[in-house]
Amino acid sequence: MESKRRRLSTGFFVLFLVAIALLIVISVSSLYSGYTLYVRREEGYTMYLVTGVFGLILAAYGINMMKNQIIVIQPIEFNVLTTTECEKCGFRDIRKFEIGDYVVKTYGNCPKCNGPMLITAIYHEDKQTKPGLF
Amino acid sequence: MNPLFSIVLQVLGEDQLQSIVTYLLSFLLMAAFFLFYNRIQMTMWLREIEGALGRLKIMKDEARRVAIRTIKEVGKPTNEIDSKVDRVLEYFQISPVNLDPSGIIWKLEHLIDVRDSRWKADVQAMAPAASSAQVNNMENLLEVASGLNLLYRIVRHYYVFGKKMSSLYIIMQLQMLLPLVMQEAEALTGALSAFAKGQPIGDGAGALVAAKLMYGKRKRTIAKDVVAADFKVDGRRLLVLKAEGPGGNVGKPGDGIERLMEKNHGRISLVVMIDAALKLEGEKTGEVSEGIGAAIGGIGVDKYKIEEVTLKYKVPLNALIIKQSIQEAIAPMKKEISEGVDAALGRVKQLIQERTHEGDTVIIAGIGNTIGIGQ
Repeated sequence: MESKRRRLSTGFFVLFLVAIALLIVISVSSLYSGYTLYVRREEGYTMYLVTGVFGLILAAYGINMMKNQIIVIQPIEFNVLTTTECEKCGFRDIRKFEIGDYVVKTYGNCPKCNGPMLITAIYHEDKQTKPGLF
Repeated sequence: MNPLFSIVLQVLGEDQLQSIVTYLLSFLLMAAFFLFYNRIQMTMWLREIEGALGRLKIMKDEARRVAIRTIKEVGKPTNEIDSKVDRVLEYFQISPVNLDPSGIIWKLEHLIDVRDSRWKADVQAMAPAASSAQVNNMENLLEVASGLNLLYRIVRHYYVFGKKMSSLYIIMQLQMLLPLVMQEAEALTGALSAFAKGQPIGDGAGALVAAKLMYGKRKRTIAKDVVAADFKVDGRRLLVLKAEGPGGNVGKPGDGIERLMEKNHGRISLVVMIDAALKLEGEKTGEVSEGIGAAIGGIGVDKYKIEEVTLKYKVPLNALIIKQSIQEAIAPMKKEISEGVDAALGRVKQLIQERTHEGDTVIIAGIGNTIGIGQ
C-alpha cells in the first residue's frame, strides 16, 4: 500500500510550523535568561525557567498533533514461500509463491529422480520477536 | 511610561507586581482548565479519531482498487466495472425477525444462500473469463473490501454524529473502541493480498489437515461446495470432508456431516472437527488444543445442524483447534500455523487410535476457508 499524506492546506501547515519554531525560540531564550539569572544569583529566574519549560512542552505537543495528521500506512507485503516435495525420493525445495500455486497441487518434476513434485505447504515467515515475560 | 502603570509600580514595587501577574495568570489558566477541560479532552479525542478515520479511508480505497485491478486482470471484463464494484460494496443483509426464534436457523440459511448466489452471480458477470475457483477468490476479495467500507462508514457516522451533537460520551466510546476497530481493519487489509493471489490463509488450517489426509484418495461432492473421501486407515473407515478448493470457499460442512451421518444410519463412532480458533493474547500461534463440541464459526447454521445430528445419533463430537490471532486468521498462512497443521494431523491419528476400535467409522471434518488448498 502506498504511503499517503492527508490533505492539509499548505498555508496552515507553514503557519503552524512557523508558530512552533517561534515558540521553541522564545522558550529556549527564556530558559537561557533563567539560567543566566540563576548563575548571577539574581531573583526572578524561576518564572523564566517555568515559561521556557512550559513553552517547550507546548511545542512538543503541537509537533505530536501535527504528526497525527500525517498518515503513513506501511505496505503490508508478505514474503510467501511454497514448499514442494518429491513424492518418490522426498527431495524438498522451497521457492517464492507463484500465482496458481495451491497446496496438494502437483508441480513439475523432481530434479533428482524426475518424480512428480507436490506442493506440501504455502506459508510466510514473520520476523521472530523476542518472547515476553508471559 | 504609562502614568497609571508607574503609580502601580511605585505602590507595589517591581517584585510584588511580578508575583501578582504570575498568580493571576496561573489562576486564569486553572480556571480555563476547569471550565473547558471536557472541550479540550473532546478536541483531543476528535483529533485522534480523525487520524484513524483517515487511515480507514486509505485502507478501504486501497481494498476497492485491489478488487477492481484483480477483477480486470483475471476476469477480463468487457464493460466498465467500477460502478458495479461500488454497488456490490454497498450490499447489505437484513437479519430475520427474532421475536419468535423458532425456525430462525432455516431463515438465516436461506438468506445466506441467497446472498452467496447473488454475490457469485455478480462476480461472474463482472469477470466472465474467471474460473470457478477464481470467482470464489474474487468474491472473498470483495467481501474484504466491503468489510473495510462498512467499518469506515460506521466510524465516520459516530464521528460526525458525536461532533454534531457535541456529545462527549459518543466521542469517548468511539475513541475507546478505536484500537479494536483498527485491529480489525488492519487484519482485513492484510487479507487483501492473500485473496487477490489465492494464497492459503490462517483460517484454512482445518481444511489443510483434511486436504493432507484425503490427498490421493477418490473424492466426491457430498453437499454444496463440500467434498469427501472414504478410505481405511488402521482398520478404521475414515470419512474425511472439507470445502472444495482451491478457490476461497467455506462450503456447507453442516450439510456434509449431516448427509454422511444419515447415509450411514448414524453408525459413526466419532466425529472429529478441526478448525482454526482465536488464541488468547500471550498464547503461541499454531498451538493445537483438543476439546469437545462443534469446532466451527460463522453465523451458527452449520453448528446447529452438526449438533442436532450428533445428538440424534448420540455420536461423540470432538474438536481440535489450531490457535491464531484475528489478523493471522485472514492473512497468508504463517509458518507456525503450517507447522501446527502437521501437529494437528498427528493428534487426529492419535485420537482415532485412542477413541475408536478396528471396524469403526469416523468422520473427520476440516473446517475453514480453503483458499489456496486443493484436495
